[in-house]
Amino acid sequence: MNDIKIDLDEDCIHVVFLGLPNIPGGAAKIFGALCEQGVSVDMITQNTMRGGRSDLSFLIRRDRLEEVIPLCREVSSKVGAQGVSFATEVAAITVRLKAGSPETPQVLAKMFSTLAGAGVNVEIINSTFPGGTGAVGTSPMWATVVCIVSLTHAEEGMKALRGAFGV
Amino acid sequence: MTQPLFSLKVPATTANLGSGFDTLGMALTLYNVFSVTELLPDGTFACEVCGEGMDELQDARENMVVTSYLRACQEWKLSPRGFHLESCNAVPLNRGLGSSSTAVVAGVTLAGLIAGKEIPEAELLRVMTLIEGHPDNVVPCFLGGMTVSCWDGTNLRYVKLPALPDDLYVVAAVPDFQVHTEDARRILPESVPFKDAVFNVSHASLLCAAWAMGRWDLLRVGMEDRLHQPHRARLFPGGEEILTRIRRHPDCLATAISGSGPTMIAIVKGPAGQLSSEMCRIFTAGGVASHFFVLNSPSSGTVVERGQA
Repeated sequence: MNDIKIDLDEDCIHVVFLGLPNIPGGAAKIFGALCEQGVSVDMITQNTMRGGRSDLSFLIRRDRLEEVIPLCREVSSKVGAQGVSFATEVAAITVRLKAGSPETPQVLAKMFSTLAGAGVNVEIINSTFPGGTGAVGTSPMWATVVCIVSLTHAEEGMKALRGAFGV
Repeated sequence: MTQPLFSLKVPATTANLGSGFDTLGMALTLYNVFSVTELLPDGTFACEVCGEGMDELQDARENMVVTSYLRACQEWKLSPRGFHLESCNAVPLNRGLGSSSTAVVAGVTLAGLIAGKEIPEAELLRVMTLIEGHPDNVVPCFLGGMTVSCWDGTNLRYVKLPALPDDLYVVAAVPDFQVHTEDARRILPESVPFKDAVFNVSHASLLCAAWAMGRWDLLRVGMEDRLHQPHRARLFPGGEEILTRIRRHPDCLATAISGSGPTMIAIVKGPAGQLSSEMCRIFTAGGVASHFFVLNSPSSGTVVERGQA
Protein backbone atom coordinates (compact mmCIF):
# COMPACT_ATOMS: atom_id res chain seq x y z
CA MET A 1 0.00 0.00 0.00
CA ASN A 2 1.50 3.36 -1.02
CA ASP A 3 -0.59 5.24 1.48
CA ILE A 4 0.96 3.61 4.52
CA LYS A 5 4.56 3.61 5.77
CA ILE A 6 5.83 1.64 8.72
CA ASP A 7 9.18 2.29 10.40
CA LEU A 8 11.09 0.89 13.34
CA ASP A 9 13.35 3.08 15.48
CA GLU A 10 15.57 1.19 17.94
CA ASP A 11 17.65 4.24 18.76
CA CYS A 12 15.36 5.77 21.37
CA ILE A 13 15.38 5.64 25.17
CA HIS A 14 12.34 6.13 27.35
CA VAL A 15 12.82 8.33 30.42
CA VAL A 16 10.13 8.53 33.13
CA PHE A 17 9.98 10.97 36.03
CA LEU A 18 7.88 9.11 38.60
CA GLY A 19 5.54 10.84 41.01
CA LEU A 20 6.19 14.43 40.02
CA PRO A 21 4.29 16.76 42.38
CA ASN A 22 1.43 18.54 40.62
CA ILE A 23 2.74 22.02 41.21
CA PRO A 24 3.76 24.58 38.59
CA GLY A 25 7.38 24.54 37.47
CA GLY A 26 8.30 20.84 37.46
CA ALA A 27 8.21 20.38 33.69
CA ALA A 28 9.89 23.78 33.22
CA LYS A 29 12.86 22.70 35.36
CA ILE A 30 13.16 19.32 33.63
CA PHE A 31 13.02 20.60 30.06
CA GLY A 32 15.03 23.69 30.94
CA ALA A 33 17.87 21.49 32.17
CA LEU A 34 17.68 19.28 29.08
CA CYS A 35 17.63 22.35 26.84
CA GLU A 36 20.76 23.74 28.52
CA GLN A 37 22.55 20.51 27.57
CA GLY A 38 21.16 20.65 24.03
CA VAL A 39 19.24 17.41 24.49
CA SER A 40 16.30 16.99 22.13
CA VAL A 41 13.25 15.13 23.38
CA ASP A 42 10.21 13.64 21.72
CA MET A 43 6.85 12.15 22.71
CA ILE A 44 6.39 14.04 25.96
CA THR A 45 3.57 12.43 27.93
CA GLN A 46 2.18 13.30 31.35
CA ASN A 47 -0.21 10.95 33.14
CA THR A 48 -2.39 12.52 35.76
CA MET A 49 -2.59 10.39 38.86
CA ARG A 50 -4.34 10.71 42.16
CA GLY A 51 -2.56 11.93 45.24
CA GLY A 52 -1.36 15.16 43.67
CA ARG A 53 1.36 13.51 41.63
CA SER A 54 1.88 12.48 38.03
CA ASP A 55 4.36 10.63 35.85
CA LEU A 56 6.10 12.56 33.09
CA SER A 57 7.88 10.69 30.33
CA PHE A 58 9.69 11.42 27.09
CA LEU A 59 12.11 9.92 24.59
CA ILE A 60 15.75 10.83 24.05
CA ARG A 61 18.26 9.56 21.53
CA ARG A 62 20.48 6.68 22.65
CA ASP A 63 23.74 8.58 22.18
CA ARG A 64 22.73 11.15 24.84
CA LEU A 65 22.12 8.61 27.63
CA GLU A 66 25.36 9.10 29.58
CA GLU A 67 24.81 12.84 29.98
CA VAL A 68 21.05 12.57 30.52
CA ILE A 69 21.29 10.14 33.47
CA PRO A 70 23.10 12.48 35.91
CA LEU A 71 21.11 15.46 34.65
CA CYS A 72 17.76 13.75 35.25
CA ARG A 73 18.81 12.43 38.65
CA GLU A 74 19.76 15.94 39.75
CA VAL A 75 16.55 17.50 38.44
CA SER A 76 14.46 14.67 39.90
CA SER A 77 15.71 15.55 43.35
CA LYS A 78 15.12 19.29 42.78
CA VAL A 79 11.52 18.87 41.60
CA GLY A 80 10.60 16.39 44.35
CA ALA A 81 9.93 13.44 42.04
CA GLN A 82 9.82 9.98 43.61
CA GLY A 83 12.42 8.69 41.16
CA VAL A 84 13.45 8.58 37.52
CA SER A 85 13.63 5.44 35.41
CA PHE A 86 15.25 4.67 32.07
CA ALA A 87 14.26 2.05 29.52
CA THR A 88 16.92 1.36 26.91
CA GLU A 89 15.37 -1.83 25.58
CA VAL A 90 12.50 -0.16 23.75
CA ALA A 91 11.67 0.66 20.16
CA ALA A 92 9.30 3.03 18.44
CA ILE A 93 7.07 1.59 15.73
CA THR A 94 5.77 4.43 13.57
CA VAL A 95 2.84 4.04 11.21
CA ARG A 96 2.26 6.90 8.80
CA LEU A 97 -0.75 7.21 6.57
CA LYS A 98 -1.64 9.83 4.02
CA ALA A 99 -3.35 12.77 5.64
CA GLY A 100 -7.09 12.98 5.14
CA SER A 101 -7.50 9.33 4.20
CA PRO A 102 -11.10 8.27 4.83
CA GLU A 103 -9.75 4.89 5.93
CA THR A 104 -7.92 6.33 8.93
CA PRO A 105 -10.23 4.79 11.58
CA GLN A 106 -9.99 1.37 9.91
CA VAL A 107 -6.20 1.63 9.66
CA LEU A 108 -5.92 2.51 13.34
CA ALA A 109 -8.21 -0.35 14.38
CA LYS A 110 -6.31 -2.80 12.19
CA MET A 111 -2.95 -1.55 13.46
CA PHE A 112 -3.78 -2.08 17.13
CA SER A 113 -5.58 -5.37 16.61
CA THR A 114 -2.60 -6.64 14.58
CA LEU A 115 -0.17 -5.70 17.36
CA ALA A 116 -2.44 -7.30 19.95
CA GLY A 117 -2.77 -10.44 17.84
CA ALA A 118 1.03 -10.67 17.69
CA GLY A 119 1.18 -10.42 21.48
CA VAL A 120 2.87 -7.03 21.39
CA ASN A 121 2.07 -4.84 24.37
CA VAL A 122 2.10 -1.16 23.49
CA GLU A 123 3.56 0.84 26.37
CA ILE A 124 2.91 4.34 25.03
CA ILE A 125 0.89 5.63 22.11
CA ASN A 126 1.28 9.03 20.53
CA SER A 127 -0.43 10.37 17.45
CA THR A 128 -0.23 13.48 15.34
CA PHE A 129 -2.67 14.38 12.65
CA PRO A 130 -2.21 17.25 10.18
CA GLY A 131 -3.77 20.36 11.60
CA GLY A 132 -2.85 19.18 15.08
CA THR A 133 0.10 20.33 17.17
CA GLY A 134 2.79 19.19 14.70
CA ALA A 135 5.10 17.04 16.85
CA VAL A 136 8.78 16.65 16.12
CA GLY A 137 9.55 14.40 13.16
CA THR A 138 6.07 14.38 11.68
CA SER A 139 5.03 15.63 8.30
CA PRO A 140 2.00 17.78 7.52
CA MET A 141 1.28 15.36 4.67
CA TRP A 142 1.08 12.30 6.90
CA ALA A 143 -0.91 11.29 9.92
CA THR A 144 1.48 9.60 12.33
CA VAL A 145 0.95 7.07 15.10
CA VAL A 146 3.93 6.10 17.23
CA CYS A 147 3.87 3.05 19.51
CA ILE A 148 6.59 2.43 22.06
CA VAL A 149 7.09 -1.29 22.56
CA SER A 150 9.61 -3.51 24.28
CA LEU A 151 12.57 -4.49 22.09
CA THR A 152 11.71 -8.09 22.88
CA HIS A 153 8.56 -7.70 20.75
CA ALA A 154 9.58 -5.03 18.23
CA GLU A 155 10.51 -7.33 15.34
CA GLU A 156 7.38 -9.44 15.81
CA GLY A 157 5.29 -6.27 15.78
CA MET A 158 6.92 -4.98 12.61
CA LYS A 159 6.54 -8.32 10.86
CA ALA A 160 2.86 -8.53 11.80
CA LEU A 161 2.13 -4.97 10.69
CA ARG A 162 3.96 -5.35 7.38
CA GLY A 163 2.01 -8.52 6.75
CA ALA A 164 -1.31 -6.96 7.69
CA PHE A 165 -0.85 -3.87 5.53
CA GLY A 166 1.15 -5.49 2.72
CA VAL A 167 4.08 -3.07 2.92
CA MET B 1 -5.54 19.98 47.31
CA THR B 2 -6.03 19.40 51.04
CA GLN B 3 -2.82 19.13 53.00
CA PRO B 4 -2.47 15.61 54.48
CA LEU B 5 -2.33 15.14 58.26
CA PHE B 6 0.78 13.02 57.88
CA SER B 7 2.90 12.35 54.83
CA LEU B 8 5.65 9.75 54.86
CA LYS B 9 8.35 9.58 52.19
CA VAL B 10 9.71 6.05 52.44
CA PRO B 11 12.74 4.80 50.46
CA ALA B 12 13.22 1.62 48.48
CA THR B 13 15.88 -0.74 49.79
CA THR B 14 18.20 -3.39 48.46
CA ALA B 15 18.68 -6.21 50.96
CA ASN B 16 20.32 -9.65 51.22
CA LEU B 17 23.32 -7.77 49.90
CA GLY B 18 25.70 -10.39 48.49
CA SER B 19 27.14 -12.35 51.39
CA GLY B 20 24.89 -10.54 53.89
CA PHE B 21 21.76 -12.69 53.61
CA ASP B 22 19.01 -11.39 55.94
CA THR B 23 21.62 -9.03 57.41
CA LEU B 24 22.86 -6.27 55.10
CA GLY B 25 20.60 -3.74 53.45
CA MET B 26 20.80 -0.28 51.94
CA ALA B 27 18.27 2.50 51.39
CA LEU B 28 17.94 3.86 47.85
CA THR B 29 16.80 7.20 46.41
CA LEU B 30 13.52 5.86 45.04
CA TYR B 31 10.42 6.54 47.12
CA ASN B 32 6.88 5.61 47.96
CA VAL B 33 4.83 8.42 49.49
CA PHE B 34 2.05 7.55 51.97
CA SER B 35 -0.33 10.28 53.10
CA VAL B 36 -3.06 10.16 55.73
CA THR B 37 -5.63 12.68 54.53
CA GLU B 38 -8.35 12.12 57.10
CA LEU B 39 -8.89 10.31 60.39
CA LEU B 40 -11.86 7.92 60.50
CA PRO B 41 -13.63 6.01 63.28
CA ASP B 42 -11.74 3.13 64.91
CA GLY B 43 -11.19 0.21 62.55
CA THR B 44 -12.44 2.06 59.43
CA PHE B 45 -9.97 2.37 56.59
CA ALA B 46 -10.02 3.59 53.00
CA CYS B 47 -7.10 3.37 50.55
CA GLU B 48 -6.34 5.05 47.26
CA VAL B 49 -3.27 3.77 45.47
CA CYS B 50 -1.61 5.28 42.43
CA GLY B 51 1.46 4.14 40.54
CA GLU B 52 2.88 0.71 41.35
CA GLY B 53 0.28 -1.73 42.68
CA MET B 54 -2.70 0.46 41.91
CA ASP B 55 -4.64 -2.61 40.77
CA GLU B 56 -3.58 -4.91 43.60
CA LEU B 57 -3.45 -2.74 46.71
CA GLN B 58 -6.73 -0.83 46.80
CA ASP B 59 -8.46 -3.20 49.24
CA ALA B 60 -7.93 -1.58 52.64
CA ARG B 61 -8.43 -4.87 54.49
CA GLU B 62 -5.40 -6.36 52.74
CA ASN B 63 -3.30 -3.23 52.27
CA MET B 64 -0.03 -3.83 54.09
CA VAL B 65 0.16 -0.28 55.46
CA VAL B 66 -3.17 -0.88 57.19
CA THR B 67 -2.39 -4.41 58.38
CA SER B 68 1.01 -3.28 59.73
CA TYR B 69 -0.63 -0.31 61.43
CA LEU B 70 -3.19 -2.60 63.11
CA ARG B 71 -0.48 -5.04 64.19
CA ALA B 72 1.56 -2.20 65.74
CA CYS B 73 -1.53 -0.84 67.52
CA GLN B 74 -2.14 -4.31 68.91
CA GLU B 75 1.50 -4.64 69.97
CA TRP B 76 1.42 -1.31 71.81
CA LYS B 77 -2.21 -1.59 72.99
CA LEU B 78 -3.26 1.54 71.10
CA SER B 79 -6.76 2.33 69.95
CA PRO B 80 -6.81 1.58 66.16
CA ARG B 81 -8.09 4.91 64.87
CA GLY B 82 -9.14 4.53 61.24
CA PHE B 83 -7.81 6.69 58.41
CA HIS B 84 -7.99 7.51 54.73
CA LEU B 85 -4.70 6.64 53.06
CA GLU B 86 -3.27 7.83 49.76
CA SER B 87 -0.30 5.82 48.48
CA CYS B 88 1.76 7.09 45.57
CA ASN B 89 4.04 4.17 44.77
CA ALA B 90 7.17 4.41 42.65
CA VAL B 91 8.96 1.37 44.09
CA PRO B 92 8.30 -1.60 41.78
CA LEU B 93 6.06 -4.22 43.38
CA ASN B 94 7.49 -7.67 44.24
CA ARG B 95 10.74 -7.03 42.39
CA GLY B 96 13.20 -7.15 45.29
CA LEU B 97 13.38 -3.43 46.04
CA GLY B 98 11.59 -3.53 49.38
CA SER B 99 8.13 -2.37 48.29
CA SER B 100 6.44 -4.35 51.09
CA SER B 101 8.91 -2.94 53.60
CA THR B 102 7.92 0.60 52.69
CA ALA B 103 4.34 -0.35 53.63
CA VAL B 104 5.39 -2.02 56.89
CA VAL B 105 7.55 0.94 57.87
CA ALA B 106 4.75 3.38 57.01
CA GLY B 107 2.09 1.42 58.90
CA VAL B 108 4.14 1.01 62.07
CA THR B 109 5.32 4.62 62.01
CA LEU B 110 1.73 5.81 61.56
CA ALA B 111 0.61 3.85 64.62
CA GLY B 112 2.82 6.00 66.83
CA LEU B 113 2.06 9.23 64.97
CA ILE B 114 -1.73 8.88 65.00
CA ALA B 115 -1.79 7.89 68.66
CA GLY B 116 0.49 10.85 69.44
CA LYS B 117 2.96 8.56 71.19
CA GLU B 118 6.74 8.85 70.96
CA ILE B 119 7.81 5.29 70.26
CA PRO B 120 11.59 4.77 70.64
CA GLU B 121 13.47 3.99 67.43
CA ALA B 122 14.57 0.54 68.62
CA GLU B 123 10.99 -0.44 69.47
CA LEU B 124 9.67 0.82 66.12
CA LEU B 125 12.31 -1.25 64.35
CA ARG B 126 11.61 -4.33 66.50
CA VAL B 127 7.93 -4.30 65.55
CA MET B 128 8.70 -3.60 61.90
CA THR B 129 11.07 -6.58 61.86
CA LEU B 130 8.53 -8.76 63.67
CA ILE B 131 5.99 -8.03 60.95
CA GLU B 132 8.40 -8.32 58.02
CA GLY B 133 10.13 -11.43 59.40
CA HIS B 134 13.64 -10.20 58.58
CA PRO B 135 15.39 -6.91 59.35
CA ASP B 136 17.53 -6.12 56.32
CA ASN B 137 14.88 -4.10 54.44
CA VAL B 138 12.96 -2.35 57.21
CA VAL B 139 16.02 -1.17 59.14
CA PRO B 140 17.68 0.76 56.27
CA CYS B 141 14.23 1.79 55.03
CA PHE B 142 13.57 3.54 58.33
CA LEU B 143 17.11 4.74 59.13
CA GLY B 144 18.57 5.33 55.65
CA GLY B 145 22.07 4.45 54.46
CA MET B 146 23.64 1.01 54.75
CA THR B 147 22.83 -1.06 57.84
CA VAL B 148 23.93 -4.30 59.45
CA SER B 149 21.15 -6.01 61.40
CA CYS B 150 21.04 -9.04 63.64
CA TRP B 151 17.63 -10.57 64.48
CA ASP B 152 17.13 -13.71 66.57
CA GLY B 153 13.36 -13.72 66.30
CA THR B 154 12.98 -11.64 69.45
CA ASN B 155 15.84 -9.20 69.79
CA LEU B 156 17.11 -6.81 67.15
CA ARG B 157 20.58 -5.27 67.08
CA TYR B 158 21.68 -2.96 64.28
CA VAL B 159 24.48 -0.64 63.20
CA LYS B 160 24.32 2.03 60.53
CA LEU B 161 27.48 2.13 58.41
CA PRO B 162 28.96 5.23 56.75
CA ALA B 163 27.08 6.40 53.67
CA LEU B 164 27.96 5.26 50.19
CA PRO B 165 30.05 8.08 48.68
CA ASP B 166 28.24 10.38 46.25
CA ASP B 167 30.40 9.25 43.32
CA LEU B 168 29.27 5.64 43.71
CA TYR B 169 25.86 4.68 42.30
CA VAL B 170 23.56 1.74 42.58
CA VAL B 171 22.17 0.62 39.25
CA ALA B 172 18.98 -1.35 39.75
CA ALA B 173 17.90 -3.24 36.62
CA VAL B 174 14.26 -4.24 37.05
CA PRO B 175 12.86 -6.99 34.81
CA ASP B 176 9.20 -7.04 33.94
CA PHE B 177 8.05 -9.92 36.11
CA GLN B 178 7.49 -10.51 39.81
CA VAL B 179 9.10 -12.85 42.30
CA HIS B 180 7.34 -13.42 45.60
CA THR B 181 9.61 -13.62 48.63
CA GLU B 182 7.98 -16.90 49.71
CA ASP B 183 8.84 -18.57 46.38
CA ALA B 184 12.40 -17.28 46.54
CA ARG B 185 12.75 -18.64 50.10
CA ARG B 186 11.39 -22.04 49.10
CA ILE B 187 14.21 -22.57 46.61
CA LEU B 188 16.89 -22.24 49.29
CA PRO B 189 18.35 -25.44 50.78
CA GLU B 190 17.50 -26.51 54.35
CA SER B 191 21.18 -26.72 55.23
CA VAL B 192 24.51 -25.70 53.69
CA PRO B 193 27.95 -27.32 53.75
CA PHE B 194 30.18 -26.09 56.58
CA LYS B 195 32.75 -24.73 54.12
CA ASP B 196 30.08 -22.59 52.47
CA ALA B 197 29.01 -21.22 55.84
CA VAL B 198 32.63 -20.29 56.58
CA PHE B 199 32.91 -18.74 53.12
CA ASN B 200 29.96 -16.46 53.81
CA VAL B 201 31.04 -15.52 57.33
CA SER B 202 34.44 -14.43 56.01
CA HIS B 203 33.04 -12.57 53.01
CA ALA B 204 30.26 -10.80 54.93
CA SER B 205 32.78 -9.74 57.57
CA LEU B 206 35.13 -8.46 54.88
CA LEU B 207 32.27 -6.58 53.24
CA CYS B 208 31.28 -4.81 56.49
CA ALA B 209 34.87 -3.98 57.35
CA ALA B 210 35.57 -2.72 53.83
CA TRP B 211 32.43 -0.57 53.90
CA ALA B 212 33.30 0.87 57.31
CA MET B 213 36.83 1.73 56.18
CA GLY B 214 35.92 2.96 52.71
CA ARG B 215 37.82 0.15 51.01
CA TRP B 216 35.52 0.11 48.00
CA ASP B 217 38.06 -1.97 46.07
CA LEU B 218 37.09 -4.93 48.28
CA LEU B 219 33.33 -4.79 47.59
CA ARG B 220 33.51 -7.20 44.68
CA VAL B 221 35.06 -9.95 46.79
CA GLY B 222 33.10 -9.08 49.93
CA MET B 223 29.78 -9.48 48.13
CA GLU B 224 30.54 -12.99 46.89
CA ASP B 225 27.98 -15.41 48.26
CA ARG B 226 27.27 -19.13 48.46
CA LEU B 227 24.07 -19.13 50.53
CA HIS B 228 21.36 -17.70 48.33
CA GLN B 229 22.51 -16.15 45.05
CA PRO B 230 23.65 -19.37 43.33
CA HIS B 231 20.13 -20.77 43.89
CA ARG B 232 18.06 -17.69 43.19
CA ALA B 233 20.00 -16.49 40.15
CA ARG B 234 18.54 -19.52 38.33
CA LEU B 235 14.99 -18.44 39.11
CA PHE B 236 14.88 -15.88 36.32
CA PRO B 237 16.55 -15.40 32.92
CA GLY B 238 19.65 -13.24 33.03
CA GLY B 239 20.34 -13.58 36.76
CA GLU B 240 23.46 -15.72 36.52
CA GLU B 241 24.83 -13.85 33.51
CA ILE B 242 24.48 -10.45 35.16
CA LEU B 243 26.19 -11.70 38.31
CA THR B 244 29.17 -13.05 36.41
CA ARG B 245 29.47 -10.83 33.32
CA ILE B 246 28.56 -7.39 34.65
CA ARG B 247 30.89 -7.72 37.64
CA ARG B 248 33.82 -7.84 35.18
CA HIS B 249 32.85 -4.44 33.72
CA PRO B 250 35.63 -1.92 34.52
CA ASP B 251 33.18 0.56 36.16
CA CYS B 252 31.49 -2.11 38.27
CA LEU B 253 32.53 -2.56 41.90
CA ALA B 254 30.07 -5.34 42.71
CA THR B 255 26.89 -7.07 41.56
CA ALA B 256 24.12 -8.74 43.54
CA ILE B 257 20.55 -9.96 43.43
CA SER B 258 18.46 -7.28 45.13
CA GLY B 259 16.44 -8.79 47.95
CA SER B 260 15.01 -12.04 46.67
CA GLY B 261 15.09 -10.78 43.06
CA PRO B 262 14.45 -10.49 40.23
CA THR B 263 15.96 -6.98 40.30
CA MET B 264 19.72 -7.07 39.88
CA ILE B 265 21.96 -4.35 41.23
CA ALA B 266 25.44 -3.18 40.37
CA ILE B 267 27.47 -0.74 42.42
CA VAL B 268 29.13 1.53 39.91
CA LYS B 269 31.83 4.16 39.86
CA GLY B 270 31.77 6.37 36.79
CA PRO B 271 29.22 6.76 34.00
CA ALA B 272 26.37 4.32 34.52
CA GLY B 273 24.60 4.34 31.15
CA GLN B 274 26.58 1.74 29.27
CA LEU B 275 26.65 -0.73 32.15
CA SER B 276 22.94 -0.25 32.90
CA SER B 277 22.05 -0.79 29.25
CA GLU B 278 24.15 -3.95 29.25
CA MET B 279 22.23 -5.32 32.24
CA CYS B 280 18.92 -4.69 30.50
CA ARG B 281 20.24 -6.19 27.26
CA ILE B 282 20.91 -9.42 29.14
CA PHE B 283 17.29 -9.46 30.31
CA THR B 284 16.15 -8.83 26.74
CA ALA B 285 18.25 -11.76 25.52
CA GLY B 286 16.30 -13.86 28.03
CA GLY B 287 13.03 -12.61 26.52
CA VAL B 288 12.21 -10.26 29.40
CA ALA B 289 11.53 -6.53 29.16
CA SER B 290 13.20 -4.32 31.77
CA HIS B 291 14.07 -0.81 32.84
CA PHE B 292 16.64 0.62 35.21
CA PHE B 293 17.23 3.20 37.90
CA VAL B 294 20.53 4.89 38.79
CA LEU B 295 20.35 5.61 42.52
CA ASN B 296 22.29 6.83 45.49
CA SER B 297 21.93 5.68 49.05
CA PRO B 298 20.26 8.47 51.06
CA SER B 299 21.68 9.10 54.53
CA SER B 300 18.19 9.75 55.85
CA GLY B 301 15.52 7.07 55.72
CA THR B 302 11.80 7.59 56.24
CA VAL B 303 10.87 11.26 56.37
CA VAL B 304 7.65 12.35 58.10
CA GLU B 305 5.87 15.59 57.29
CA ARG B 306 3.05 16.72 59.53
CA GLY B 307 0.16 18.80 58.29
CA GLN B 308 -2.37 20.62 60.39
CA ALA B 309 -4.61 18.41 62.51
